[in-house]
Order: sequence, then structure tokens, then C-alpha cells
Amino acid sequence: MLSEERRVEQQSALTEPAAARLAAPDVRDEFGLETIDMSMGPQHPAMHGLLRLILELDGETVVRCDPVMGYLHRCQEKIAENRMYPAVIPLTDRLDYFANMHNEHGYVLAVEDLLDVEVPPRAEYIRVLMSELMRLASHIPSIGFLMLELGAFTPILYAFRERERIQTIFEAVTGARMMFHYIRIGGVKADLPPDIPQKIWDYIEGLESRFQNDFVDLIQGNEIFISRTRGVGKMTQEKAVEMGLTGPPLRCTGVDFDLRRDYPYSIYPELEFDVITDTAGDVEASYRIRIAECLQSIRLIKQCLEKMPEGAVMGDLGRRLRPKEGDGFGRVESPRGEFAVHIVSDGSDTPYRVHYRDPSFCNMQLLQEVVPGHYLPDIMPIMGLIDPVSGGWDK
Amino acid sequence: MPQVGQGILKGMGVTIRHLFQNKITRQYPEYKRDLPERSRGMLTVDMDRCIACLQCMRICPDHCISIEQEKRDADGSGKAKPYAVGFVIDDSRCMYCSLCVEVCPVNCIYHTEEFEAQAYNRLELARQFGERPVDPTIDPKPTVKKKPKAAKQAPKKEATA
Repeated sequence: MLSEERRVEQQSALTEPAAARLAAPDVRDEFGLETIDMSMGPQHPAMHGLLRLILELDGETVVRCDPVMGYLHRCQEKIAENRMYPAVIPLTDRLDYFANMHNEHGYVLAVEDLLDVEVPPRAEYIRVLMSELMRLASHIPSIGFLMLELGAFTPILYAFRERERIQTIFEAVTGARMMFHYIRIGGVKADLPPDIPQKIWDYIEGLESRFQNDFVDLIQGNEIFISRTRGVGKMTQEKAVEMGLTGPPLRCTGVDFDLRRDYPYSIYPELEFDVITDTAGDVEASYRIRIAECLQSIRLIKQCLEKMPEGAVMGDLGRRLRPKEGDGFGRVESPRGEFAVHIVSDGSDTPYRVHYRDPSFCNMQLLQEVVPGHYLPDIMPIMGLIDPVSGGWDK
Repeated sequence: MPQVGQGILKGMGVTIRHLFQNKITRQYPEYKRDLPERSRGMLTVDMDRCIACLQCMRICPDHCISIEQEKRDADGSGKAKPYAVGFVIDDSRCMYCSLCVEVCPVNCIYHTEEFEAQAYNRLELARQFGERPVDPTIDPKPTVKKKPKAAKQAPKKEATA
């Protein structure tokens, strides 16, 4: 119980701004009610990582949604300025920790752009093979997370079982389950162990049949899933391009853009695959895109294993890397969109400046544009459409 | 409407089929799976082979290796060579990037299969390998950004002139 003194003090402190806001006509609706400000996160059980959303609610409808980032900021770009070029690669693993291979690949492409190194063809094939496995290991849990946000717990268990199997392959190849440090400047760390190509092939063959049973049959056509996702988070092509979206959120509106085909890097021009697009532009479309991209990744992995040449896996590099002064740029299609790295070199053995363009961060502005007008429980499916990773948006 | 609920029933069929499959979870502390050959666990040093070249200390991005070096005639050849009297690996800083293992010319630092590093105190995670303990809290290589080339050369000219 509060003492009488304190109660009076508290009431006067509270009522004054509240009275002023009630008197202002713009915050009252036709029933004389005002909108409520609410903070969702950063420690919210349903929230993706450490994200805080400042919501203005009119009843259950969201009027305004402002994401607040920075709860996982680790000064990745600044730390990279004090490290030698090869020692930055283990840091990039910590950016988007669901797509580590893509981060490494993007950074390494930027340094190779500075150095003009010749990468052996076998190394390029191994890089693409690992990247596509990583895409599977990222897209499948993304589907599971989307279902988890709608309240379905089973798909995430099936998704993590698949991810676990891919991680076992990664562990045998790279030595670590998540922080790989495998793709190096000029090649890859080591050749594949002799039994791994057969293991990957067996896994991929099994996944192809399991995929239909475990994910498509389980989710597609489910009435609850359709009623929660169809028409939710709908956006037009123009809006998506204006916001600078990349990856599945862009392709689900029908924009046919994929870095692997449009700005090809590594050996993607030699491989056959389709860029998946959808026209609906809502959460359900992004789910369909992820399902179809998984099947394309399986196709790419099979081609990589069939076409993989013999030879060295590491290019000829000096012991100490000192790139000439200038800029290096590398961009890859990560599961979440375009991951790009820009490095400025001053001729020393540490970078002068490293900048990461992370898709989780850039796709996040979809929230401000798309969420207003939706109901409060629709925010989580829209987060599943973006599928951000907090290591990515905070760096 | 007969179609409503069909999608849910189809999904239920999937979960029921999984009910009769083998379990894939394992009871971790009782059952430990075999680690692959390349697995990167905690580091260890074979001090008999170490030539105190300090390359691991220099390459380590997290500065977790500190070595105290001394000139000593260890093999009785009558020639004083660098010898590591103190060698500490601070596991509370290590991120298992394996750069020190790759750079070692005599393969004396390597990963073990040990991965359960836990302690009540940070200092307990600093493992000493040499005969003399080294303070792991001292940063062996403070990060100082190099000055630009032009600024570096200017005072040199003055000194020679």
C-alpha cells in the first residue's frame, strides 16, 4: 500500500501529461479513446533476437511501428580495422549467424577484388557447395520459425533435425558447427575429407523425399496457416523496390532479381538453376519462395558434386597480405538477401575501413511501411517474412 | 463443407508417422558422440617441440596466447636459442579460429577433442604450459592503429638531416 502522501504525489505526476494528451484532438478517435504506446521487446519471447518495436496501438490495430536496433551491437566494423586481413574472417562468422558461409564468402570476395588472386576451380566449387548447403540450413529453420510464430511447434523440431544433419557435415568439413572459418582468401582452408562427397549426396537424396513429406504436406493447405498468412504483409512491387528489399521479401512481390544470376560471382554462371518469384507479395508467398529455393539449392548441390574438378584448393598468396591502396567490393546472395562488403585499403596489412551491408538490417524497414494497419498478432508473421537475424542487423 | 480441416488432418498424419520413427535425440552428458577428425576443441601445447618463435602469439586475433621467452641452451649444443619459459593460453578469450595451429612451423600447438570449458572464475580458464606462470591478463599485443605512411616518414627525414 502506498502512503497517502506518495499516492497524491504519484497521481499528480501521472495525470498531468495524460490530461494534456486527452485534450489534444488528434489522439482521440470517434469514441473519445486515445491510442496507446507499447513497447514490444527486446526481451519478448516471440521476438526475433534482440529487437524492440515501439508500437502505437489503436485498439488492436497498429498505427505506428518503429524498430529500435542496437541491443546486440558489437562494433564489428571497428574491430575489423585493427585486425590483419585473414583474421577478420572469423569475425564475419559472427555477423549473420544463420548464414556464416555467405558472410565469409562476401568478405573474401572483397579482399580478392583488392588483391587480384587466382582462385583454383576446385576451391570455387567447394565454396558454392558449402554456400548452398548453408542456404538449406538457413531456409529450412526459417520456415520452422515462421510456423513457430503462428503457434505451431512441430515444424521447428523437424527443421532443426535437418539443420543438425547439415551441421554434422559442416563439422566434418570445417571443424566447427557454426563458426566455420573455412573460406579463406585465395581458396578454402582444406580439401573435403574423402568420404564427405558421398555423405552429402546421400543426405541430399534423402532430403528430397523427406522435404515433401515433412514440410510441404505438414504446412501447405493447412487452414490455420492460410488464414494467418494470406494477404498479411502485402506490398506492391514498386514499394518493395523503393524500400531496397532484397532476397525472398523482394522476390515474393514478383521482382525477378537474384545476385547469383544477375551479378554472377564464383562459378554460378556454369550451373543451372531457376530464380523463384511469386506475385502475391505476402507472408504465404515468402513461405512458398523459401520452399522452392530449397529445392533449387538441392539441384545446385547435385551439380556441384557432379562437376567438381580435381586440383588444389588454395591459391598462391604471400605470407603477409598487403593489398594496394584502393577499394574492394564483394557481394553475395545470402539466404536473406544481398550481403555486400566494402573494404578500403590504405596499403597496410589491416583494412582502413570495412563496411557490411547486411540484408537483415536493410529489409527491416519493411516494418515501418507494412505493419501499420495490421493487427498486433500479425507482426510476428511479418517478422517471419523478413526473417531477420540479430547478429546481422546489429553487427 | 467437407474440405475444411483437410489440410490440418494431412498435417496430423505427418506427425503421427513421425511418432513411430526412431528417436534422434541423445542424452548428452551420458552419451557423447564421436567428434570428427577436424573438430576444433581446446588448444594444447607440446612444450618439448616449441621453438618459441612467437608466431602463434602474433597471429592470434584475440590475444589469448602469451609467451615469456628467454635465451637458453636447452639441448646442450652450446648455443643459446630462444626458449619458452612461460606459455599461457587464455580460454576465456579464445574463439577457436585455428589460426595459431595453421601458422605453427613445428606443429606443437594443436586442438584437442576437449570442448567442455567451464569454471567459476575467468582466471581458471587460463592454462599454463611453461615452467614459469605468465599473467594472462596482460595484453601481449596492444592494438595500436598504425599511423599513415606519410606521417611515419616525415620525422625520419628530420633525424637523418
